[in-house]
Amino acid sequence: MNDPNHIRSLQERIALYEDMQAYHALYDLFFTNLHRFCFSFVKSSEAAEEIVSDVFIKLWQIRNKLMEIANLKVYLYQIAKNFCLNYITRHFKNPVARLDEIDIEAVISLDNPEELCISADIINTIQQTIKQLPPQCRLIFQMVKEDGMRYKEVADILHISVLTVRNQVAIAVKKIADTLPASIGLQYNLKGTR
Amino acid sequence: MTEERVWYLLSVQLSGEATPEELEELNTLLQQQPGLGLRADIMRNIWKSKQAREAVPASASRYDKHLQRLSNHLAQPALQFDAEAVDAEPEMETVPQRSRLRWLWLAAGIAASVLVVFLVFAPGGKTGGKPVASNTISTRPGSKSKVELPDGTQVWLNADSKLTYAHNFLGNTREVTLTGEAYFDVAHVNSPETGQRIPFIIHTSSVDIKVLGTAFNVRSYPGEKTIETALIRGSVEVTLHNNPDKKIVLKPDEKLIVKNDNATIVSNTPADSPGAADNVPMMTLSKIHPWKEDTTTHYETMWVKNKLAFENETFDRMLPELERWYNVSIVLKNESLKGLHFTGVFENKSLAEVMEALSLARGFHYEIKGAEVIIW
Repeated sequence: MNDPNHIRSLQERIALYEDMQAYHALYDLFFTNLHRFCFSFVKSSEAAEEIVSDVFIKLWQIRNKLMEIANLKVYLYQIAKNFCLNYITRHFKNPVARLDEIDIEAVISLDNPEELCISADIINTIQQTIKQLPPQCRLIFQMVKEDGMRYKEVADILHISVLTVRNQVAIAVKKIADTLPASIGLQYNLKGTR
Repeated sequence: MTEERVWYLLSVQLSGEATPEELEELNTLLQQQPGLGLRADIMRNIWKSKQAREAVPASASRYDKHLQRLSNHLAQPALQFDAEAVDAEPEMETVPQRSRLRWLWLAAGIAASVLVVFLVFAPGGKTGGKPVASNTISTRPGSKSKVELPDGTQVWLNADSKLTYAHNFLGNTREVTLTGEAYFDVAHVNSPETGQRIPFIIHTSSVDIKVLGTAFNVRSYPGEKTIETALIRGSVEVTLHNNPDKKIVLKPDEKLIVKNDNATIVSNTPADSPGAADNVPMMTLSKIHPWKEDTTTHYETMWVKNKLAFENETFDRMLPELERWYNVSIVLKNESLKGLHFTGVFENKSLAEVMEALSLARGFHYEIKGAEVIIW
C-alpha cells in the first residue's frame, strides 16, 4: 500500500484500460487498511466493509478521471472518511458529524507479550493507555503506525496541519512509553531483550 | 525535558519522518540516558507489531461481494435510461455540490456501459442445450416480449427468438437455452443450503455463458454467422463448446465475435457464398461504442428500447434483422449491395420509412410487395 509507483501503475491501468485485474489488485491492496480506518469510525465490521465497497464503487465510477488524482491513497481515505461521516450522520441521527466529535475506536496491533518482551499486564496497560488517548490522537497514531502513512498524507486526509499530526504521534508515543517499565529488573521475561 | 525529547524524537523516527539531525540527536540522548533504552526498544517492537488478519473474511468472497454491489449499483440506470439521473447515486452526498451533477452524468454514462460478446463457433461443436422437461417462451418475427423467470431474472426476447428453461429451473444451477436474441438482467440468487451464489448459465448453439448476476445481450440466431452476447454490467465467463477448457472472461465495453460454424442458413438472407464464412475470424475481441446522440445507450441493446440500430453494419447482416423486425422476407437481387455499410437508429419507423431512408443513402432501388421486399 505504500509503494507509490505500484499504486500509480494500477491507477493508470484502471484509468486508461478499465483493467479489472488492476481494480481487483487495488481493492486487495487497500481493503485491510481502509476497513480498519472505517471501522474506527463506524465500529461495525459489516458497515466498514460496505463503506470500503462504496469507496471502490465510486472509484470505478470516476475511472475515466482517475489520472487527475495526484495521490490516490489519500483520495481513497478522504472518500472513506466522508462516507463514514455520512454513515454516522444517517445512522446515529447526529445532526453534525465532525471529526473531532466522533469517538474513534483505534485498532492498534500489539504482538504477544513474549515477542514484545513485556508482561501481559503491561500489554493491558498499553491498551488502556491507547483507549484513553483523545479520539483524534488515536486515529492519527493508528494511521501512522498501522497504515504507515506519511504525516503529510494524514494531514491531507483529515484536513489538519502536518504539525498537528507530528505532535499527536509524539503524544501517543510518550503516553505509551510512560506506561512501560523503566527498569529491566521489573521484567518477567528477560529473554530476547538485548 | 530530556525524556520528553527522546519520545518525540523516537516518534518521528518510527514514523519515518525524522531528519538526519534528529536521528543523531536521538542516538546521543539514548547513550546519555541508558535508563530509557529498554523502553525505547519495547516501543520499537510495539510499533513493528503486525495486525492480526483473521478479523476480515476471506479475500475472494469479499471481492465477489463487492463486485456484486458494484454491478447492482451500476445496474439501476442500465435499462432505465429515462429516470437514471434522478436517483442514480444516493451515496454521493459527500461530493461537493458543484461537482455533483458531473458525478451523476459520469455515473449514468458508466452505468450504461455495455459489454458485448459476440460468439461464433468452430466446426465440430455439439449443438446447444439438453432436452429436458421444460418451459419455452418464444416470439414470432415482428414481435418482442419481456418475461420474468421464476428466479426474478428479467428477459427481453427479440423477434423470432426462443428461450427454454427446465422445470427444475431453481435448483443448484439456473440454466436456459437460447435461440435468437435476448437481453438478460440476471437476478442474484444464493443457494439456501450453501449460501453460495447460484450461477446462471445460457446455452447457445456454440457457447455457454456463465454469469453470477449481471445484465447482457445474447444474439444467437441460427441463420447468422455469429453469436453475440452483450454484457451491460458485471462480468461473464464464456465457454466455447468446441474448446471447453478455455474460458473467456470479458470486460465492460468489449465485444467478442466468434465464428459460428453451426449456422444453418434458413432465411433467404443474401446467401453466404461458399467461403464467405471463412472471412469471419475465429474469434475477435473489440470495443463497443455508445451511440453519439445518447451516450448512455449502446447499439447492441437498443432493440430493448424498441430502437432498430445499426453501427457500421454490413447490408447482408442488416437484412435478416429487418426481416425479423418487420416480419417480412427480403430478396436482394444485386449482390454488389451486400458490402454496403450502414450506421443509424430508427425509432418507431415503418418498414417503408426505413427502406426509403436506406435507399436514399445508398441509391439502391426497392419495392415492398406485402410481406416481401425486393432490392436491386
